[in-house]
Amino acid sequence: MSEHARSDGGGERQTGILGLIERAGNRLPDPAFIFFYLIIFMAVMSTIAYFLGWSVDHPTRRDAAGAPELVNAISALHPDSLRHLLVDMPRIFTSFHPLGYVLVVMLGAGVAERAGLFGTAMRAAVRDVPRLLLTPAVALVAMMGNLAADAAYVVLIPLAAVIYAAAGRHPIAGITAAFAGVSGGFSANLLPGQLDALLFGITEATVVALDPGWTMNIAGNWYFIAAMTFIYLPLIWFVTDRIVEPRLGQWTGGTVAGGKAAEDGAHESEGETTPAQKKGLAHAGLAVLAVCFVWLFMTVDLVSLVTLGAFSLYGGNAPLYAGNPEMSVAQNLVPFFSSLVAGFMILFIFAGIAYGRAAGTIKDHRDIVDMMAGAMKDMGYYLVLAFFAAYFVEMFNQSQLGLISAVNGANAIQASGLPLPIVLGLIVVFAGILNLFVGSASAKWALMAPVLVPMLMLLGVSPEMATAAYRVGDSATNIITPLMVYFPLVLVFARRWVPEFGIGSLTSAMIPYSIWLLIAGIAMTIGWVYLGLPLGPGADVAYTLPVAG
Amino acid sequence: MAKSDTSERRGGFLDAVERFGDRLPDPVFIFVWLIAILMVMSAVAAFLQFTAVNPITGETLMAQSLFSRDNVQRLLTSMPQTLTGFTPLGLTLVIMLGAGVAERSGLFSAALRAGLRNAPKAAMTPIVMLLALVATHSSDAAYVVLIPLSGVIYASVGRHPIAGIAAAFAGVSGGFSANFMPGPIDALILGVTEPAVHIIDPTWSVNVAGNWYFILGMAMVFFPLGWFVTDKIIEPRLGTYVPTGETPLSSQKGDSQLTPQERKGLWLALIGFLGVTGLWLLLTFGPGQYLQIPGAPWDQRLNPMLDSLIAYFFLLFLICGVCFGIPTGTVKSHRDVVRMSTEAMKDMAGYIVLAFTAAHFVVMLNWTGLGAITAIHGAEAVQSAGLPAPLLLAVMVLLAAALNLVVGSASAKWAFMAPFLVPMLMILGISPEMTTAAYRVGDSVTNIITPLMVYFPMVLAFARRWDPNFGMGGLLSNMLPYSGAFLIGGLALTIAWVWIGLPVGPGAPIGYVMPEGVTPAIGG
Repeated sequence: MSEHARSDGGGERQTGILGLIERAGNRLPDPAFIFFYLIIFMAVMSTIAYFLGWSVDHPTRRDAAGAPELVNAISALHPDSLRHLLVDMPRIFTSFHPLGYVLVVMLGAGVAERAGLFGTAMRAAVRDVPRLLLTPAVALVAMMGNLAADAAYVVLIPLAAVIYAAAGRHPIAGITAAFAGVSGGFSANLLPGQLDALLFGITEATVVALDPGWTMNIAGNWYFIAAMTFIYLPLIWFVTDRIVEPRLGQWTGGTVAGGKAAEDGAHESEGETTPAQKKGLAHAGLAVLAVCFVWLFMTVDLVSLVTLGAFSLYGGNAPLYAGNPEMSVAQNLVPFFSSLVAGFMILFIFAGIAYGRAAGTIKDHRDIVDMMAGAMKDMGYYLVLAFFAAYFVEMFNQSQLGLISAVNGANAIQASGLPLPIVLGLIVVFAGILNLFVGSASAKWALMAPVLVPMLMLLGVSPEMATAAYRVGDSATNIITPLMVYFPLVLVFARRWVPEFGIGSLTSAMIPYSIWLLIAGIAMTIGWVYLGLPLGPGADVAYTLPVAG
Repeated sequence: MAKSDTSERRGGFLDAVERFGDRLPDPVFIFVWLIAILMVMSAVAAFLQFTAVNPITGETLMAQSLFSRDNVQRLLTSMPQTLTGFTPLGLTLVIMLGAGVAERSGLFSAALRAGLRNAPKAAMTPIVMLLALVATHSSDAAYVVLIPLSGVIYASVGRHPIAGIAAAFAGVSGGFSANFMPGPIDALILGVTEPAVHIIDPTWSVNVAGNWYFILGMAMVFFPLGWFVTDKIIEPRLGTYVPTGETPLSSQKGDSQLTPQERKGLWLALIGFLGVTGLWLLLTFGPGQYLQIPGAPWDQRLNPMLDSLIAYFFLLFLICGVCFGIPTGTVKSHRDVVRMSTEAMKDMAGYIVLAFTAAHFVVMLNWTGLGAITAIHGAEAVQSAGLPAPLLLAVMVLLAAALNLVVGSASAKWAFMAPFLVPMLMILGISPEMTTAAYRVGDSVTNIITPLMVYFPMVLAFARRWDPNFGMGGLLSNMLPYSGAFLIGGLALTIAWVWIGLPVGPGAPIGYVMPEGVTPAIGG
């Protein structure tokens, strides 16, 4: 299958360096086996590191005597490690972070998609939107979607593909644009959100050693991340429409994922929506409103709001609002954000059922179960990938190699003695490179911050600026590393449209985004420091240590 | 023979079961409705302030409403974790990743054919029964390969082919839980037991080998019963086989022979089996003692090894499947292995949907505290009625057997029975493993007489290839003797097992000793 597709699809057009990367990448083994080989590599590497006695002083943890705790590389073949890997096999698999999120959202999306709601709604939605503005719209929504973290990946990326296909454009271009926005623009946003709270929480812990009076301000990077959004938006637009889409060529596959369904969609795709479909859309719209209203109701205590607190519906705070007066609104909304995965699933199920009943695609509850099972079938390959990816991530964490390289790298930057803007530029690059191997934004920052933040404070750079520089690097390279936990998922989404789309195809499509975002990010960081612009309300680039210290 | 009126009468009963079963919603929606009922019940129970005193800790349990702020928040924010935290999901998916390769490479099918070919006429029934009991490790190969093949082999030596089909069906399906080694089904069912046990004892963790001795005992009991029923009851009833029209004998005879590649593959698979098993023995008993707790008493010492059995089965199935697939050409490159695992995951799609609703039912029942409260009151009632433990378990066997007629899925049934029965029996001093074992007896024996069992129509189709007039009633009347014999044998086994007090598996006694305080109803 893939042989055939490569010979007639690839051939003449895919020249140049991206074509080279694509071909090399696709000649690689199946992604599941790439992870398998990486697992073997990790076992060897961690054993070598163990025998060489690689170790580093932990930047924050102290032992009983007050000396820094020594962190040693741990071999995967050490009895404790190996026992954990064998005994906890099912738990290592199911605790792979994205797995639950993906399955839950797909259970709902499967109903909405198979009932025909997505296709019809997207066709109706894009009919009057100029094709040109599709990319900036998707990219902006994707960057804003970061507020909902996991839900953004599982909801926006497949939806973008449907929108593009409905507009007659290549669905893979929609996937790459959305992926670049959600993941490449991971830190870019118009509003501060839970990621800001998470990262500044880590920053604060490292600042108090030098300046106990410093408190974290969740809006401390607001201007900076908003500027990132405005710079990234035209870049993603440009890369999608001028670089990625021309390489993909003309889309001829129809508006529904999967070959068989594409034929069904073909004869009606250009036509008008039928009366039954229109009725279905109206019902789905009502269902969406109802679910949104329920969620609003559970997040904001409307009764208490209207009666100015005289009466309350819940005898306290609404279920999805933490209501801690010492925390900012964004932090109090954490339960709401966490509930969005469930929210989207319920939204999709109800809207799908409302549409399907009217449009005749759902006749009884057995159809709903079949649609959910169909969605889970599509995830079959992802489950195989997730198993191997989960093992790799687990072994990498177990080996402590991520921690050792982060601390050593930060120490090297500290020792370099370069001018300030360059040092911050270096931090961006270092964060970007480290990000290829260690996915979690907060885990990496927890390792780098204890070294970098105090160092920069002594050099007169504020903790907010240090955090901002880190975030630039942490974002741009997310999209080109197969080790990022959502990368296999995006690959699976792409394969639903183009079955022979390989890991090389996805990487080569994402590399232009990554390069452009990284260059723009470095330029922006250096320029920001040079100009000394404020990073957020009450957060400057410059910093002076308190005299009393 | 009075065959026609038997089939009429059975057909009536059959139709009734079938109609009732069809009216039941899909198992996924059974759980949706159960959750809805639970939500209403929890609100009522919380309003009426239902309580029970936990006999272990002595603390008072209050029924909690699912509409309370905390429970709503918990439900909505932790939905993904509720799904992935459902113990049987991970266990089953991991084993299936490996078993998918073994099954699709053709290993199971070839191994079954290797076992059956050249069997002497008299030893044919015991061989078929034996293979059928073992073959439940791979349900598809067992149904699709073993059952039709038994018909062919019986016919080729001049015995009645339908006797062969009936014997294989009885072994595979009626002896669903009986086996010589624990496998994927143990992971599935015992996995469901774990969240139920946590209602009483959060420290308990699942052990896939927890029913090993018991299922072995079941196999020992079912094996002679199946043999006797086939040769002394079914075959005489069927009479001499007179071929009518075209039979599948000639077309399938060739299939039962092994090609040289398959023979080579089986040898390689055997080497793979020995290799993986040897690796595990080395890890357990070799230098380093990776999979044991050195110095611990012997009943706990091997716990890491027992816990690692999931990984063992995963690797065993994967490696044996690859070993077999290379010489036979079903595994040409690593992409075939990935494809086979992917197809196995696709087969699990329906199960994941079911797991989502079942997981929520179990977790939400936990939040309300109703499971524990019902269990405590139920246990008190049983205790005051003075029902002895063996009889209690026998009642459970019958209950499971009756439910099995209308709800096919073993794990779905257990997911809603376990949260009530397991804690109740724990309070009465019976271990979760023993409760699970009793459930499995009942769940197995009636598989072969319910038309709702997914493979029932397929078996009927296999039988019709030999006798076009063979109807549902005919199949049912031939399977009833097996079902009856297995039920009686299983009941006797359960009662005797508890009476004597044999362990249910390594590290799994029948008695459950409460962490503190309460006198167990029976000795361990």
